[in-house]
Amino acid sequence: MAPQEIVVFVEGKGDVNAVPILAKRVMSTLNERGDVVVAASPFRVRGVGALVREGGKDWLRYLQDATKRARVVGVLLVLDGDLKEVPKTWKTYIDRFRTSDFCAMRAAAALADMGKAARAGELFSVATVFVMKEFEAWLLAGIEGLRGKSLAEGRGIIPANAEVPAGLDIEGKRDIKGVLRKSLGGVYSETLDQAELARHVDLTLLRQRCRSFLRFESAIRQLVDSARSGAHALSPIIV
Amino acid sequence: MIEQITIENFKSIGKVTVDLSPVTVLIGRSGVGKSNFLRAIRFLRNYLTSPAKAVEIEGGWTRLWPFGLPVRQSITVRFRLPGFHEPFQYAISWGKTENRADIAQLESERLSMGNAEVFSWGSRQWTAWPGEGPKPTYPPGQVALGSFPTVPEAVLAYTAWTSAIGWYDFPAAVFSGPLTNNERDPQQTGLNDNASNYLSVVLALTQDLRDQHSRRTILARLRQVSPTVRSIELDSVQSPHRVIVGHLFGGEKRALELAQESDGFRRYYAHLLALYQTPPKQVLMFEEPENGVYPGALRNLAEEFIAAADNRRGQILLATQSPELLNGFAAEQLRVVDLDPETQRTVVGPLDADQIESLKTQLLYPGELLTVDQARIAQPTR
Repeated sequence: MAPQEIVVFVEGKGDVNAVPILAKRVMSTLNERGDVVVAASPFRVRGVGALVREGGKDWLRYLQDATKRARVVGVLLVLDGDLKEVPKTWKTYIDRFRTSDFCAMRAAAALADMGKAARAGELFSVATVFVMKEFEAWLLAGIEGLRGKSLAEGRGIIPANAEVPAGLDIEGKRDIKGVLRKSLGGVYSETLDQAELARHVDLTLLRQRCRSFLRFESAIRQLVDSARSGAHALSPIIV
Repeated sequence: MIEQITIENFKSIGKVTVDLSPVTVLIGRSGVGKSNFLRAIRFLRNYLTSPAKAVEIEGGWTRLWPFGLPVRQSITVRFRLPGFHEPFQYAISWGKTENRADIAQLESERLSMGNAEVFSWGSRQWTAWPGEGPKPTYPPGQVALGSFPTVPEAVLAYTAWTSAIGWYDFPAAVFSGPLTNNERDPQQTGLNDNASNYLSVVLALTQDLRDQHSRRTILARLRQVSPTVRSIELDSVQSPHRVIVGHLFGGEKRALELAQESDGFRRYYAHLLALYQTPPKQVLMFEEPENGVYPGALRNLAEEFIAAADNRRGQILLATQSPELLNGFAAEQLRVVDLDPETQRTVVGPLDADQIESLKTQLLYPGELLTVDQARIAQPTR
């Protein structure tokens, strides 16, 4: 029997390859039966601002498009959580939480909830995750696993002493790309290197250092469980 | 109109059979073989006109073989011509020569109309001979399609596959260089591939007093890109040397040479000339027409491509990487080009049925097949 599929929605060009690789690595630990897999072609959506405008018109369109595929049972949305405030146009968030301050858990729950209009939770599952604050935080958090690995196209070898700078708040710091670039010897390109680094990043350290990665793992676990049980879910939910 | 084309062993293409529409838009990632598909058609056109030149344009036979390895190649086309009820089919094949990787040998040709064979040869003998007079024992080593002046079907098919096909990939410098080669190319009528004979084409449009619509539409389209434009005409109808663009800047009239206009303006104009040339081509092919053109004008250009096909000014085949341009086309007009993951050969096919439905129900815009939900080829029905 053909496996059921989870479609990954990502934000950036580098994420298109890198996030599915991390998702597959996580799933390989949960899914030895191979009955649920990550779909081959991820969706590249823009950031949260584009998804929520006009009542989430684009978000709902993409959900309906993705779930037309016969084997798709779930959608995993992974966005950067580098906002200070949610867009002023996101009325459902502002009305519900009475603030426009960005909170990753609230934003994720609000996006999952918007998906109901596309019959998410009924015909298929949706789990939303915000990487804090951008995808490179996850690469930096597991940087020890990258030591000695080659960058794409032989552009350099990652230093054997590459490490997280002392005292750095990995999930709180802005411009984590710049920190990662420096840690990798000055040569890092989002579009060239993300996928290869995602293959090698140390997941154990990543779990210890990034709460948002734990959320990523739990989202995948929920999607796999829902696929197996047939009880479609929205994740997260804030009561 | 070309209804179907089968290409075997041409550059990155292993074997593909593609049904074409009045407008066919090829989409797919870079490097998957979109250009090779269009170039196979161009190669056939050029080969029928001048075999040696056709091979030279492609960089020699070693660049025409898949992965540089000599193997039998063939192109088969099914097409319709005005005035004929039945479709034509023309097939041509080349084989490798012994001990030479850099030369191919013309191996067979066949032209048929409906179920009737017009001519065919292969294995060093004629299997259907339409000519008058003595039948040669062996094809003369040149293309037979153009060799039967007394067989109307062959003459028309030859014309349709030579001078009636335009292949355009206009450079940024189009219309900006010195007018050294503006003479007519004797092998072609209408706008030639590099548009170097554009003065002749503008002159033909100017002199066609029955059709003022084309000139007005070209001007209207140019004004959408550059609102100050008031006219675009030859400097002289008797002896044209340049095209003059009339502008109105804040109430003041100015005349600029076409060469002084921006790259984007000139490329846009080049596409319009190709689409409105008279007499029109049967088939017009464009490589990434979006290059250098103002993105806001691309929807208008898409409209013009569709209008050209609707108004019998030519079947349109184009390859694009532009979401803005792609938004102007319908699901049925799209063909997806990709690499077979196992063989790494180019495959071409219609869009996945689910994605077609998503386009029709506006869950997805065509341009999002290049950005959000990458276009997928329809799975063959079992």
